[in-house]
Amino acid sequence: MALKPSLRDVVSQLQAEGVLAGDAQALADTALASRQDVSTGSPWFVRMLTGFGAWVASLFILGFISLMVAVAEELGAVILGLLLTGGALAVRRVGNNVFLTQLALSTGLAGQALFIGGVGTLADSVEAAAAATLGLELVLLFLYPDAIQRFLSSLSASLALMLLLRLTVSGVLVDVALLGLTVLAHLLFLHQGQLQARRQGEVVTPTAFGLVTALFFVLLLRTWFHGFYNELFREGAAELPAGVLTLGLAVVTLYSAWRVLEETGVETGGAAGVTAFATLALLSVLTFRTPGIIAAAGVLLLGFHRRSEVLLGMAVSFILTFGISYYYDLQLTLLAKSLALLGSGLVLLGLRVFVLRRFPAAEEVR
Amino acid sequence: MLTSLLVPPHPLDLTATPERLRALAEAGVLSPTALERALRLAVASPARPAWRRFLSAVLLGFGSLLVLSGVIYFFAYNWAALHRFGKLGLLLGAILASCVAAWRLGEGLAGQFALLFAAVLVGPLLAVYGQAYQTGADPYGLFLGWGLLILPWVALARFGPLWLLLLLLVDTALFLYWVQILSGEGTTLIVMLAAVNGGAWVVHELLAMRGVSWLSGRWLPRVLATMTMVPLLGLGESVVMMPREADTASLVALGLLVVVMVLAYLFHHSVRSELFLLTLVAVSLMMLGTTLVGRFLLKSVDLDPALFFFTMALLIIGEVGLTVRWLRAEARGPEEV
Repeated sequence: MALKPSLRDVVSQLQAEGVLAGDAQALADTALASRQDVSTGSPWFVRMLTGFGAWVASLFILGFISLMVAVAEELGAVILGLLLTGGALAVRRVGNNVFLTQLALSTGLAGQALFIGGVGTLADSVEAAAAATLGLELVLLFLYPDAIQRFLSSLSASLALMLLLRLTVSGVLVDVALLGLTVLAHLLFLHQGQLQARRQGEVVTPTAFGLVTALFFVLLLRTWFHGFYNELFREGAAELPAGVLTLGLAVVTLYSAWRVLEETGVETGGAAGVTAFATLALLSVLTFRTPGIIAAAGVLLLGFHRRSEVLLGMAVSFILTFGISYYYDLQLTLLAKSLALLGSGLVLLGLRVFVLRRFPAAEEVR
Repeated sequence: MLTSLLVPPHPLDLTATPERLRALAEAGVLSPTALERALRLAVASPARPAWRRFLSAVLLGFGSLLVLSGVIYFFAYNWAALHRFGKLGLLLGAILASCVAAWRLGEGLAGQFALLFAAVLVGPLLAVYGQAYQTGADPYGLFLGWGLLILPWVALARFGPLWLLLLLLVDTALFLYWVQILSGEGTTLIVMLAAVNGGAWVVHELLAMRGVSWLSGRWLPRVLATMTMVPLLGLGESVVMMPREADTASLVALGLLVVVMVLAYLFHHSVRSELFLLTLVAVSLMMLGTTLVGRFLLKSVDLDPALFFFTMALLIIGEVGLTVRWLRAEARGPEEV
């Protein structure tokens, strides 16, 4: 069963609210019949294929350019990169043809890589490359009319920002920025409906997905490959203790839970609200060494709140990934770990029984 | 019922995406105020009963997984202080309790999870038994016995994950038997595993076509299709890359892959529209085609490296573009997200 409502559901609701006239369904039917481009959607696996295909093609384009043009000429690479990116942007803004879209996406990715690499080599600095990435991707995020490029731009810009902070200021600020980006992702999802209706509304969803992916990527590095992360680009850079990061992420998640309760009309101070807050708080306390768990729980909440199967899938996968890390890192014997696992599982099952009994289905109807 | 699966959905039954709502606004059906409201409705939070079901499923899923992992860890610890009777008794007690819970909870998700729990615990029970009495049995026997013992529960539960567990046990038993007892060729094993998975996929689709209600979901056939096609594609790629070194099993795999792709296309056309399946077919064709052309350009034509990169880039762009256009043209059943 699809989580998202159909056009019929939405139009019927608007009719019931008196926003649309009685013949709106027939008008909508006629309008959609003439718009082949929107009547066939792209499922997640097709979008993934498109993005991955463009990335592979861009590698070949880069190979071609590096052999044909003297990339050693850094300025040439920068100019050519900008020309390719600009050309791709122009092509994409002009046409919506599937081949042109794919050509533009691949060429644009190659152009971006060329520009960033060129700037980095010209200035002989990773910081310059990161700053160039941040600037270019922020421009593309708003100008390039393609959800896949916008997702990639949001992801790249977020990672570039954190890299830049790590290299120039302090590793601690990277964690602060990570918290800031998480806040932004949560706000974008919480206000998705309103923001999408505004100018540049198409930017909202791909940006939010890019931010969530960046969050999981950085937390994955911090959790599973901490040694590597610690030495990445700046050896031994300072960082916030995991517990502090968990606390920050827990605050963001609790805020989102509060907004969700409000939107669904549940009293935040009532039994349901207190149960939700207490559960999330307990989860953060128990897993304070693994910030990814509360972060993924927050994304799980947003995924269902905004009826996004893809976000739900990402959240479940990362809860499992971070959960494994949590138990793996416990400084306990196998026997103690088994008891910890059993105990946590029984707590969750007990909570389920409590939720089902304390809030029976009939009460919701009433 | 089958015909309804091939009929394109009515435009109004499509998911309310922002692009579609904006198209309605551009056509003048939605005013700016209506568009704003519609965009909010499209992502409005689900109703309270849906939240309750969601929380129940999430807590049940993660809770069961944690408890199950705890039990497996406990027996993996091999606590010396606990007598073998104690270990076996604990496991048998847990299995019995799960069965009673499944019986009491009935046909809902909780009952099915309880049966899955019992089925998973049979493995540790056999392992502890083998360890306590030094049976000397081969490892493949454990997985085969495990699969056979849980067969009645699998049949009774009508639960996709339990069937998947059974299939994984059969695959593992086959793998271990082939490697440890027969010391056979790896490529033949891969073909056999693909055949077993493909068989399970065919059975699933046949039963679903007969209207077995609990098989109406599409996640399990998608997993089975992937488990069938990916091993065949791996061997098919090796044939295309190094045709002279290909053994009979690899050639059979390539042939089987072609057959599966044709059948998948026919299935999509005559039984049930399934874009995921077509995407698998398209990815397989793209990978085989790209490897074939790449090999031809490098080995036979001896193309200039720069031109090679350029040709390959254009080829991939063309392939993906063609695939996306084809998939859009083929989308005719219930919308996939």
